[in-house]
Formats: sequence, C-alpha cells, structure tokens
Amino acid sequence: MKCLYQIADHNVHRFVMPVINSNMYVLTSKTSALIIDPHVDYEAELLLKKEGINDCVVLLTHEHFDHISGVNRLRKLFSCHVICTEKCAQQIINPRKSGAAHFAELFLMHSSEEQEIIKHLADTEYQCEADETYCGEKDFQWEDLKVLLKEAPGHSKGSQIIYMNDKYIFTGDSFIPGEEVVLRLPGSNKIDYERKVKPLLHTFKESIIYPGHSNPIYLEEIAF
Amino acid sequence: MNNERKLKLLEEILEVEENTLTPETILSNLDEWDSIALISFIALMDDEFGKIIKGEKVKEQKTVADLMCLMEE
Repeated sequence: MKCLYQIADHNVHRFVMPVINSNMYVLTSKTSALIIDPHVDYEAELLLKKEGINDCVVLLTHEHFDHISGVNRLRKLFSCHVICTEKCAQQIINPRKSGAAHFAELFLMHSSEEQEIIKHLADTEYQCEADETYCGEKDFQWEDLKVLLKEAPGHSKGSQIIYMNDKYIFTGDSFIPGEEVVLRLPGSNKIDYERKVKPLLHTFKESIIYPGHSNPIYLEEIAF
Repeated sequence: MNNERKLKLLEEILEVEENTLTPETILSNLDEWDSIALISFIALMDDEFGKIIKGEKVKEQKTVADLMCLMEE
C-alpha cells in the first residue's frame, strides 16, 4: 500500500493488482470511502476496517475484469454504491464481455510463475452489478470533493474519466502517461477514442493524473 | 465465410495493413501476435462464429492458415 498524494484532506491509497499492475485507489473520510476500480486486496480491507468505514462509493473506470474484480468482495464487507457508465453496467454482468471469462488466457504468453499468480486471481464466471449508471456526464459531491464523471469510450465501450475538484483525474486505461493506449481489445474503438477521448485529454493541463496502471503523475500538459 | 473475409478479420485484430497476411504467414514472425491478439481472436470466434475456444488451443496454432481452419471447424 502506498499513500501517494492527498486530494483536499483525503489520503489517496493505491493498491496494485499483481502481474497486470492495475491500480485500485482508495480515499477515506470518517466512515465513508471512495474507491476506484476495486480488486480483492486484504491490505485495502484492513485499511478500511481500521478506519471504521461503513459505506463505500465505488467508481469503475471501465468494465475490464482487472478493474472490477473486487466489487463483489467489497459488497460482502461494506455497504457499497457502485457507479459507472450505462455501457459499463451492461458489460460487467457478462463475464464474456468484461473479459473475466478469458482473463487468465491473457497471460498465456507470460512466465509460468506469473500464470500461477493469475490463476488465483482469475474467476471465469465473475460478474457484478452497478447501482447507478449514466450516459454522457454526471456530477456529484463526495464529502468535500466535487466529482465529475464523463463517458470516454475508446479503450472499451464503457470507459469513463473521473475528475475530482477539476484537477485530480482518474483516467483508467483511457490514458496512461508514457504508454500507448490499448485500442485493439474486443470492445475497443479507435474512432470513438479519437473523437471522444482525445479532446478530453487536452483539458488535462496542470493536473494530477491517476491512471489505471502505472504511477500517478503531475502533468503540466499533454503533447501529442 | 470465404478466405478473403477471414484474412480481413485477422488483419483487423492483428492491426496489420490490408493484404499483408497470407495463409502461409507464420504467427511467431509477427510482432502483433501477442496476448491481446490472442484474446481478440477468442472474442472474434465468439462474436462472429458463436464458438467458445480455449486460449491454449489458439496458442498452439502456428500459421494464419491454422487460425483460418479454426474459423471453419
């Protein structure tokens, strides 16, 4: 667990899924937590219990298994309200659409050690549900933070970008600094990415980016 | 589905230029033949052919012609 930054008065904890290095972010405040892209992580559960968390607002940047695999576990432990795009909600109920059904197969070309780790994380029948969905944009207040959600299809059908207080941006896999966005997975769409996501990236000036993989960074401006 | 259409579908998931694949193309010679391509092929088989195919079986294939055969079975 790493506490990297603060957003307003909230510590941002990052928990990394082994092998694939997907990020789960946890912000806490009194008895409530805001969680982005949960996977099953016992250190994260310990943190939430230690801080006396009762309620979790869960945001999913997109529908892929490595970004949703902890939703059901969280629901068992805490009262959760899961928010994602309408398209994401349609995919996460189907293991073949979220990639859960084939998650382990994504690593067939990796080392046997990594395949063994992944075997324990994979669940070919995994599915979960959203409590609230939206199309286009949605904003809400979580504690003292202004949260804005924007649909961002391209990497996947149900991708979204999450803004907090305008300058803290959770990009999921739609933007990973220094890496090429993957646009050739089932459900990816290059044209959507060019038309709908690229214009959003231009708004990322002087922002702190919390990507779906890799380290968060401060970004002065994006060069294309 | 004819061979031309199959090759086109494979070129799409491998993201290679049109008309660059032939049945004789060896998969291991293609940089684009990676984990994502493998998963995309599984999804293609599901979506276009209604077949569930195991990743291990896809990984065993050596050439584009082998993949085209799976698209026929």
